Amino acid sequence: MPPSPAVARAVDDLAQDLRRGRYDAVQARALAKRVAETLIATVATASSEASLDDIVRATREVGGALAVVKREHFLVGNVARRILRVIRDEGARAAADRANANAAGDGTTRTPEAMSKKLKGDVIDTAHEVTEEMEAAASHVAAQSGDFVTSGAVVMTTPSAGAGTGLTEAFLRDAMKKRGGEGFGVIVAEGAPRCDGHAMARSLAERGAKDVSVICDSAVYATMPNVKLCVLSAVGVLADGTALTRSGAYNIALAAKAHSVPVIVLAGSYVISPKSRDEDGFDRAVGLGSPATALGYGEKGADPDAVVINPALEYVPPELISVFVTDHGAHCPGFIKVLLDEMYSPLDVKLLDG
Amino acid sequence: MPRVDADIDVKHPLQAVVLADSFGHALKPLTCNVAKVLLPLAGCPMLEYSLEWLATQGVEECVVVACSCSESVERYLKSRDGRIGGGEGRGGMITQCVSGTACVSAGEALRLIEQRRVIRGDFVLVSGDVVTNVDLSDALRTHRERRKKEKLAIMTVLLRETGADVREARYGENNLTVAMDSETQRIVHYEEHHGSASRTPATSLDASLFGEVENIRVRTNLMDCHIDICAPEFLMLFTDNFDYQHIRRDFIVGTLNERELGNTLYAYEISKDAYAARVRNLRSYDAVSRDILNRWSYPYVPDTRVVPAHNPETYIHQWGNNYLSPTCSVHETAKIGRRCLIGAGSSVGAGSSVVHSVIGKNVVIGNNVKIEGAYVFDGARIGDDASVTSSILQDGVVLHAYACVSPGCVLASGVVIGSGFTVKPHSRVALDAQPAIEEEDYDSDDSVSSTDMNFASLEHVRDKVKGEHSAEEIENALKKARVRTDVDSSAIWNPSSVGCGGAGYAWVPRDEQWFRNIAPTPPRELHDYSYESAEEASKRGYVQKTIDTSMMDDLESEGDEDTKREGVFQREVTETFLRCVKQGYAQENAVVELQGLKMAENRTFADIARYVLMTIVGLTLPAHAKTSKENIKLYPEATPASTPELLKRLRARLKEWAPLLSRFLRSEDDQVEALLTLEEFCSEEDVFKGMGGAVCVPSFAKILHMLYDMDVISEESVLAWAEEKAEADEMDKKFLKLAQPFVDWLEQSSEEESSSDD
Repeated sequence: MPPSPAVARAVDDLAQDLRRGRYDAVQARALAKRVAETLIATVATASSEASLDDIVRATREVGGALAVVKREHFLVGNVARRILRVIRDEGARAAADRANANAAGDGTTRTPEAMSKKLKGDVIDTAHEVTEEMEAAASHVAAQSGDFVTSGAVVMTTPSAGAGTGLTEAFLRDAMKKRGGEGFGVIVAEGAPRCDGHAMARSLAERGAKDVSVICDSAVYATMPNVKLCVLSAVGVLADGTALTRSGAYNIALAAKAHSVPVIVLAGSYVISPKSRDEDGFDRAVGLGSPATALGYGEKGADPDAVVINPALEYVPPELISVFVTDHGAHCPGFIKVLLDEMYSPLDVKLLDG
Repeated sequence: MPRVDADIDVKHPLQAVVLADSFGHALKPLTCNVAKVLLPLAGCPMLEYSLEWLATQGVEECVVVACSCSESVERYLKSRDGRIGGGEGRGGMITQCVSGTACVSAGEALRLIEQRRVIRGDFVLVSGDVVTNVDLSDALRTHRERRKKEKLAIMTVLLRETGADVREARYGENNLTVAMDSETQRIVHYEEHHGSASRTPATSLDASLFGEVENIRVRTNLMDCHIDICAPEFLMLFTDNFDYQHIRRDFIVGTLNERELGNTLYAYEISKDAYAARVRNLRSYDAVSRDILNRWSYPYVPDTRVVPAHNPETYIHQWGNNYLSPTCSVHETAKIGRRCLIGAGSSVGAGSSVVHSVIGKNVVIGNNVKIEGAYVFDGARIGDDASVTSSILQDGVVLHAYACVSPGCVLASGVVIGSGFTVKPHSRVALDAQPAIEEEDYDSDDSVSSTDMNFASLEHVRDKVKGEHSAEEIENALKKARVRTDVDSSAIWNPSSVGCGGAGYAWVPRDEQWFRNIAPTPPRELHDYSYESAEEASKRGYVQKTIDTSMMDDLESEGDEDTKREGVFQREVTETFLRCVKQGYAQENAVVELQGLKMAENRTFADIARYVLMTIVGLTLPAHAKTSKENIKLYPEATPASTPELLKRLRARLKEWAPLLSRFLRSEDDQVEALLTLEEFCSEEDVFKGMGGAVCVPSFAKILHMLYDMDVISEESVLAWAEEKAEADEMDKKFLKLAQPFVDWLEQSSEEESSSDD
């Protein structure tokens, strides 16, 4: 069943926007919302004769096509899986209803069209609920700050991927609300070459944090003995508990391990992917950008032909992570698999056939 | 569509004009049959980069102006639209193609846009060969806010900061000096130099500027991005000044010179992280390709699949900035060096090495091939043990085994290089013979060596027939060769240019400076950049000459009509000039007057200068029948009795006007032309009938000498004139004979000079 032209256009536009990097520097929930809307539109425009299987297939196709556009955005595939889960659940419920109705023997046999319509309506409603839930994920994560940030603690962090108020900042601000501006100290690793750690530290200080320091990334190890907790945020989590984070986070996680400092990784549940790193393409998903942020063109007499590797992201292995804090609660890396089974249907781990 | 009154604040959709042609021939013969903007750049047609960038910047309507090979651009855009369904483009950008096959310059293309009335508000003007990732929103906002306050801020020019060495050595661009108001960024001076990098070119700023602007900042570390934000008035100015050809050289410089009109231009310096560069010549083609592979143009890099916007190729990025298509096959023993791109379906044989190169789709590379710094387009085949260094091989080029392509070569579509043959460095080979100069555009870069070209393209045919055949037969042979390119016509290809079993015509090597070429530069040498200015001058001079010779032909064959027109023009110039003399205008004002005339008549300065010179000479003689009454007083009453008296009168006039003449008569060609006109004047031919010029005949040599002394005519021009005349028939040699002693003297002195130099 080919998608309607309007949906095809919307999918096309979204794919091109992903390629252009429009969602590289904005908050994840904006992208999650757009993907969900595109998929809901796919369901909504399915023909009235479409069976449950047809709708599932169409959604898988669209979701799968979008998921491979830019692997860094794990959440694209995950949102598709969440929506698929909703469709499958609603389908199962509708089937159960039908069976019950037949068993009860009330003669009101409904036409397939009406059934399909009801199914679609239910799916769309539930999908909207899921979207709202995803939008609220960040605040749910931030709200758990009280469990981790204790009074008098010194927290080391690094800016989250994406612009604006990232997850880490929201988390620390919430902690400030609970513990007060003087309650704990914050050390921000600047996150070279982009150095948005500076802006983050400033933003925290302006909002009342009394003890904020910025350190350069190379000073992370030296500072670590004073630190009680490391807070990182992930743009993606793989099934084995590997986190895809802003480059610079691995450095912190290693230093924390050496000093036995706990590392918590913040992530919305929708970025947790059932994929593993050795699957096609995921090991290369490190957001390799322009060298310009690291070294200006011809700057300091550098040859513009020099190969400058400037990845935006890196993988932090699960053994360095103490706890993931998601909107579903706090879990150790080994528990991610259980979480995945709760969230997605095992049939949808692979979205594209073949 | 009626033009919306600019006073009403209407929200126009953001529009863009893409000039899908650079009106040059720097990439010939690659651009013989395909538009330059469709040439692949790092695996994707060049035009896609600018279109995709515009779409990302929120441009809603995009007008692509295609000129040379416009059909190919139109076809391409149509298929591009087809892939996305309908005229409404993805991301809301509608692409419209305007084909102006007759346009030979950016100025004409812009006039065409103005005629079509497709532009309704402020728009983005970008050259189709620009690769950039600049975020335009800030520049647009600045431009719009400024326009609200200052209606006449008609243009914002985007500039990128780069070191001078990067600009020249890497992109082959000229020196650029921009002076601007350091607070408002208003451009007060824009000058492209043609001097060498080692010698900082002098810039002279109008002193009055310092009264207007408090702080002037003179920058030499900027590179023009060829991205501008323009007001609709920009197009109108092009229509008003119909002699404007270039946006930079004519429009920007012209607008800055006419400050009294109040139009202002502003600079906008793009952020340091942003990238922008234009593919102007082979060198910048190479540089921009390397930049893309090095990811400076991110996100417009192969592995992000951003370009082309529709069904993009997949490339997998590997360590060392290599981009390999998943469907290409590279033998285990082949070595892929740094910064390579290998397209879908291509194969690299055992033991081959590919370094710093871009390989297109379905290219077959044999065993033990060495490729370094090369650009191999789709479908090329490279035989075993061949080698290619710093060259471009267009679609379907075939290199037989052991062939060797030396640095700086350009092999156009379908060329075959025979087995074991070595192509000389910097050669250009194409299946089409090098076009004769008549077919070339006005703005051609190739017209420099125009006269040699015809010979060259015929040369190898001549080799073959050993000069025993008539010109007609040679012509036929050439025609046959053209028609039957697809057939094995090895009988006609010259083995000395493409080897045995090869196919293709060797084009005359360009007298190209190192910095235009694709071959790597010899590190940091002193070079003479005067190439382009010389080229420019001779180009203008050349056009000048064709007009004139054609007119003379017409005069001979068709009679009075043209003489009459020329006569009218001559009188116009005389009248204008005499008015200046009578009213004692300063030279600057006279220039303005004559400039107006030049525009009105659509002539060149040299045309005007020739007649001004004749008027000056004429002023030494008594008034003639054609002189208008109010000017009679300017003329002396009596014929000069002797040569000295004539010279005295002439010297007085020339003293005043020589600077103007030498300003207008710059190139040698123009000066020779002026001398020929002087001849006509003395022999009272055509337009000079009845002016009594014959009186000057005995003094001809002396007049020549005086013009030489006054720096109006250079030594070279006199010698060139003498040379040209030496071949004329006896009748025409009258004046040469008169001037012979002077010519001899010049020759002698120049010889002495050169010998003393030794």
